[in-house]
Amino acid sequence: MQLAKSGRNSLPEEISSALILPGFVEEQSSPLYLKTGTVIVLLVVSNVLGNFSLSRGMREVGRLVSVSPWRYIQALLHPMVAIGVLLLMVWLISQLSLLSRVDLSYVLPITSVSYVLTALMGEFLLHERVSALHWVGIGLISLGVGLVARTVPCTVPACESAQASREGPQ
Amino acid sequence: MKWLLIAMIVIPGTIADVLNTMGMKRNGQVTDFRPRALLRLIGSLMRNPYVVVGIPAMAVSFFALMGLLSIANLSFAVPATAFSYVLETALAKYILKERIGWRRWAGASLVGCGVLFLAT
Repeated sequence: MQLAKSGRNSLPEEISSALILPGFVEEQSSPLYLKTGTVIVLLVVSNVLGNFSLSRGMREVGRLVSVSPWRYIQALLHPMVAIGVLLLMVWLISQLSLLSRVDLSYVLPITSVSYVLTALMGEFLLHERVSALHWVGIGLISLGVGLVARTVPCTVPACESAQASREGPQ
Repeated sequence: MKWLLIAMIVIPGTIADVLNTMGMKRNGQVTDFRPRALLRLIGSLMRNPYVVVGIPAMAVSFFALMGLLSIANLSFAVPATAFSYVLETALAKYILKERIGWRRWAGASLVGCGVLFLAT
């Protein structure tokens, strides 16, 4: 009897607090936090696959150097092109969120890993031959990425102040 | 035509990167990737003057890339868009005031060289 009563009493309290604070329930579901490394992987994968499906699609659409936007709209209706554009949207969001956290001079070299992957995909999926010179290029890029990866990702004050004010919007 | 398109990819692309970095640093760190949070992010970015100019510049660069992809091989098109590594590192130092040590300079130069090799 007492238990039932206390149980019944606590319920309206929860409901009322949810009513008083709109967004209370939403705040309870935990934010989907992605580590910087995860965002980098997301960026590289969406960039490589996006470029790949765009290249595939454009090859089927044909020549596209035109002033009229109609040709571009037509191209966007091709499924491979559409998938490519969708992936490039994922790329854009991850690029912007990465830039909100770390230096531009860190993001650019690190994400150039995608050129290496694109070249490898060109070789293995598009059958565009990778020459010896291309392999040298792939090696140099990998070396550069390795060097930049050993630096502190963010050197501007904006990162620290943003980290401090994470609780509330600026 | 190919090289004109490359200029249309590189120059607006560089401007876009610098403006987007400025805008996103003012926006604050993006840490929540739930769809609702991303929609809210897009809403606030539409009122962010740097990003509002940066994204269209990026779009110019993107459509030029699409055009280039339709007349050139992927292995020509994509690496050729990347002449800007050292240039953008310098802009990051002087405009964005990022501290760039020898590792960043060497890394950006190596990546730039690697990209030149890939473009051959």
